[in-house]
Amino acid sequence: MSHAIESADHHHGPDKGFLRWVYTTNHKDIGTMYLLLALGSLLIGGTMAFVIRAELFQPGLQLVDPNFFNQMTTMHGLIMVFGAIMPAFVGLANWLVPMMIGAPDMALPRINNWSFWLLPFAFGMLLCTLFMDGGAPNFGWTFYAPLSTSYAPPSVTFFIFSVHIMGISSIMGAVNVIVTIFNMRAPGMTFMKMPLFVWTWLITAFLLIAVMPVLAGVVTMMLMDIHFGTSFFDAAGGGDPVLFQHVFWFFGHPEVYIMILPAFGIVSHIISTFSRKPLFGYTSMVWATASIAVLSFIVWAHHMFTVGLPLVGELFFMYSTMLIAVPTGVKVFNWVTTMFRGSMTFETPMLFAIAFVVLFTIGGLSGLMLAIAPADFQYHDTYFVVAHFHYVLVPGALFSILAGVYYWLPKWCGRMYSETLGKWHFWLSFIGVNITFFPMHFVGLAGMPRRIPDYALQFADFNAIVSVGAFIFGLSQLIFVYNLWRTTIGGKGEQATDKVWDEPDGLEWDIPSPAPYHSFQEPPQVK
Amino acid sequence: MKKMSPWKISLVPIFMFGFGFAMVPLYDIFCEVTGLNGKNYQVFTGDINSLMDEGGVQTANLQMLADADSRDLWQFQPENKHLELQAGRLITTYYELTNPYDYPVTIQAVPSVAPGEWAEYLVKIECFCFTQQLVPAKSTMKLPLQVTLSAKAPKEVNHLSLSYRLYQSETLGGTF
Repeated sequence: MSHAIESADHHHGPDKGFLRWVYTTNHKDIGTMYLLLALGSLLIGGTMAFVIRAELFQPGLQLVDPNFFNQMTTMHGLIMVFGAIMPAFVGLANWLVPMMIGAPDMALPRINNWSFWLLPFAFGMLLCTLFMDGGAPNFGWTFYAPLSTSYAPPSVTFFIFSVHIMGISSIMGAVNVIVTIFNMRAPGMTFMKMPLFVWTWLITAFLLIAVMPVLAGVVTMMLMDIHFGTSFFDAAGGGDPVLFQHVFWFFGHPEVYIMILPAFGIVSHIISTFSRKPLFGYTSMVWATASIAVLSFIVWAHHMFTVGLPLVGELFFMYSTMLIAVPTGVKVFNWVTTMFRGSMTFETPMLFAIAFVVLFTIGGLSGLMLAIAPADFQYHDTYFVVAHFHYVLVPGALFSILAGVYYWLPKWCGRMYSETLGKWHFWLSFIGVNITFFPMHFVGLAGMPRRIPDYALQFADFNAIVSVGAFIFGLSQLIFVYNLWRTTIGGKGEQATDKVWDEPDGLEWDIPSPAPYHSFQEPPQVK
Repeated sequence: MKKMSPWKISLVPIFMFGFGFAMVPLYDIFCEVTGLNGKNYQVFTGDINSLMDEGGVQTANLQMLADADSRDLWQFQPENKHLELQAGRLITTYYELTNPYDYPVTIQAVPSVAPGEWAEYLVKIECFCFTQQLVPAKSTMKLPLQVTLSAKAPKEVNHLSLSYRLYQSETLGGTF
């Protein structure tokens, strides 16, 4: 980040050395740290996925014992959800929200510093459980009681505190985003003039403050069941394990939208820029995002169709879930219509954004299949579910983050990334992701259960293909890491113009590239 | 421009943390009101004589099932597998539970009535599932159950199944 020092005002430039990063309250520094933490988590979680796919390459137990396999699936899920996707979006919000609304920084810079610095400790603690007696958590990322209480390894307590710490971090980050967006918009920027990334993040932040405390509550109940003799989820003491699932998914379903709404914002910006047209249906995008957020609170039990819900319950959650397809369909329609008759070019961010639209829609459609309660009895706990949520999280959330990084990186560091490497990264990722996750639909429909280290012989061919795809996809991310390194630290790549792209829309393109350490100290006028 | 206070917005997560815990009693209330989750067996608390006066001619077959934890070695079975319920007639029956361990265990039996829609017509006057039971080491206990059919039961209610699942409790007492 030496370029930031050069270009910044020398009286107010950042400190030197490591302590700069410890003490910083600058939204750009903190955004960078969030993004690097997310990248680290992505690689760690990806390594765990490698272990999983290597074990599943052929039937039988080859590499790891079943308990370690369960630890891998659990840690992979937790690290990817809480360590990669969520911090990456917070990092993007830190970098972009102030620049997009014409604010000098986030509203609560010290809280911002604290929010970030809690995370390395939370994930450090979570990773340490791998080396503890009894091993890491092995009950799946959804940690259903009583697997995560009565039958959990002793390290579950560390898992609980780690979730508490990352929850506090997320809540403070979300409060910061809300207060920044409400109070620090440039004069003239009304709510309906806000860029869509800001809108989607505002709504995401409200989801975060509403449901992260419920997650904190449910792990606290687990803690009390394990250590203080309560019986929230213990039938012997009058509790109910199904209650765990209700409370967990009351958090868990809004959580999946927390991981996708900011992606909608990013993709909207990129598709508009590279189609050289304003976004089609801005107002409907805002309303669609808001209605998805509201609906997310009344659909949670579609994760629990097989626990023995009464018929009315099945029907209510089935229909309310299907209703979500309406606002989501509006969004997909708007993206496609934005591209329609645009003078499109296909730079790396645009490729990832288009792949997002196509592949996220596939994930959405398999979600609709799962929403059909009677059909879900067949699909429940099979690889079909794994295929579904990986389609919305990998070529959905992750692709949007990659697209966003390619799109805004020249603004952040002042140099263009290598377009050739970017295209290689995209095409290998695109092919790899589909080879990995598409056959999972087939083995899932054929009945292969989730979370197993070994499987029946008839699933062998597809699993071998899936594993090959996973290695292609995983290794192609190294191209991305190299491309990032050569553009930022390596100092290669041509100088980026202030606009970077062909007439992109938004205040962040009005400031120089690289963005100075302090930007918009005088608020811009928005017409 | 009116400013948004971070303190005010922080009330939302504090409230939602409380709401997470409030979901525990709300869940029980919801199940009780709607009769979901098999929790809606009737517990009779009034005067037994009035119950007998309300009697009728309607009968229903009651099947009784027992389900001990497969990981445990308890012997747990009903004295009678089938009984005929009649509205107003009290039936007292027993479940037998043997504790094979050489230490006392505390158990909680959790009932489930099928079909769930008819669960409200099974009236319990006394049940070992109302409280936790302490079973002494290496001993067999007879656990009492007193039930009848509700006079409100419609004609089509002709069979009910009552099953118990045993859970071993670490501590005696306290459901919360």
